[in-house]
Amino acid sequence: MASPSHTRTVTLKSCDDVEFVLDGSVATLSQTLVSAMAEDSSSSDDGTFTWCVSNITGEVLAKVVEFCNKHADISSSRGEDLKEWDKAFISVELDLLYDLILAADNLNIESLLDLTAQRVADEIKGKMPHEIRMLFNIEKDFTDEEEREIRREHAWAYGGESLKSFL
Amino acid sequence: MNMNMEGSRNNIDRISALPNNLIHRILSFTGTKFAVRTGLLSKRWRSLWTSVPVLDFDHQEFCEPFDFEKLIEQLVLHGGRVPFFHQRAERMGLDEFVLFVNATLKRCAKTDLQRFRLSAEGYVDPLQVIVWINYAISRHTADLELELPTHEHMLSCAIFKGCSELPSSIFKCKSLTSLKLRMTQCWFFNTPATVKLHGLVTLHLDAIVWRDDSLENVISKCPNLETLRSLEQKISLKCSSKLVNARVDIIGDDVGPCYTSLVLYKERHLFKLLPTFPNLKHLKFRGFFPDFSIEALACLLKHSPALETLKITDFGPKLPALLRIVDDTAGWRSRILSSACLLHLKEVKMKGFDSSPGKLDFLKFLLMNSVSLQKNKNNTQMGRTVVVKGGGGPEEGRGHESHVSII
Repeated sequence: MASPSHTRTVTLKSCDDVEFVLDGSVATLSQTLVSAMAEDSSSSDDGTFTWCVSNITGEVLAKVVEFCNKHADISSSRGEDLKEWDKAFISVELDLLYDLILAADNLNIESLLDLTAQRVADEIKGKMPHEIRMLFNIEKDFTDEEEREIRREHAWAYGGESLKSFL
Repeated sequence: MNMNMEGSRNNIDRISALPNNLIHRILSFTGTKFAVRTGLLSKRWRSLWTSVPVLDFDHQEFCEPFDFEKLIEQLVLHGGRVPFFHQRAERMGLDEFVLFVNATLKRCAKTDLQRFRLSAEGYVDPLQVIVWINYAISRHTADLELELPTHEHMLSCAIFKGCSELPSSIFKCKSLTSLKLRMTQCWFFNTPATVKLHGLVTLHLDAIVWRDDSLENVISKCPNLETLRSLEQKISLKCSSKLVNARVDIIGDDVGPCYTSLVLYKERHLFKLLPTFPNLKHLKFRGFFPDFSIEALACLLKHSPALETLKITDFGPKLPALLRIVDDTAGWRSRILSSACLLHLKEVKMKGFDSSPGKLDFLKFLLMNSVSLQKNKNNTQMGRTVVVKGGGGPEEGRGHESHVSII
């Protein structure tokens, strides 16, 4: 049985066979890796551990590894600087953002999940439903009947008149 | 935010394809107002918001200022026709806000909540506040925060309506890890019969009137408390050994209200009863800090060996002659043994420091007791002329960031 503290390096392998070597302490940011390492009895004595992520591409995994390396580095993990770094890190296109959310979920990296979710939330905040639909390509699939019902349902929240602009 | 936002490449709706738990996480960051709004997007989104584990109501968000840029944007987008909504500033009165909150709560699923936050300015009926607290408890909330400040002129109206008692059920809420109540309405706690707050780590209680020793009683039953913020000073007498941060606010422009809570410090026999706070690192006093409680402060410092920073935002003016009769600061230093007990104290900030004997005595006490301050005597900055005479040679510190600021 290998505990993260005993494991010196972790090799992460993407679905398109790109490999990343992480320090054992960096890998502990991922709860998925922590439990996998704890369960793994076959881990070699030289302290290496390999984990394949079947649904994350090398491009996305590179971002995840970049994030983990930064956040595990205690000397750089300080308040404002790290916030600035996070902000720049997460300034990505929507497609990559979704991939990052799913990867963070898959590897169970709490801080990356929060960062990515916050980024999407910032896009939703302050927008009208029709603007959100346009941005995220969401199709309005209500029937006329349903739409009337929803208007009624939501009248409590925003008052009848202003609701017109919502749909 | 000016970010590179180009939508999804192939016009695929990927956000709706995310699993519910991830959408919930996203909506826990938008604030409840915008989470509710996503119910209008599509069938997939219609009821997703009802089970978000965070409820965050901020009245401020319902009073958005008129957004001129947005209006122009809309004009371009709609070819000169502007939807009604943007023709006026979005504004919702407090009564409407309360209705919105209650209508939302009624529609929410009854799952456990990570966080329940409600912030509004103005007078809210205490019975309504109790309903919200009970609601949060019924959903096993971990982090409860109510911020309901009232303007001065409203306060007299609140007092007129009488005090309200906070429900004792709050002390039996095992799920609570953080409890923050900031309410200027008149509230009080009675000594609760049972306290089960074993998980409580953070406690902020502002402007809450305690009866008897209720607060001390409660705090002594919170073994995991790490951060405490309250208005009353006597709380620091009996608190958890895990305490790391403490901030004590002293309100009132005049000296009056401070006395009741500071009287304890004059009772010298109580000093002996002070427990040790082995983990207390940061101590901050906000508001007027009268001379005669300096001895108490010195005592408290002696019992906080891990203290790193001490801030006093306002030392009071010299006491009026009448009050100085009870002031017995002279000689207290000899009663407290000085053996350099403050091994970690690196930063001291004091505002409103004058050359009254009590304050000078306190400064001497600090210099004698703090190891790193002694090493860095050269760093002692003073805005006013205060003569400091302390023992020990002027050794150079080894890069310690320790200093005393007197503003």
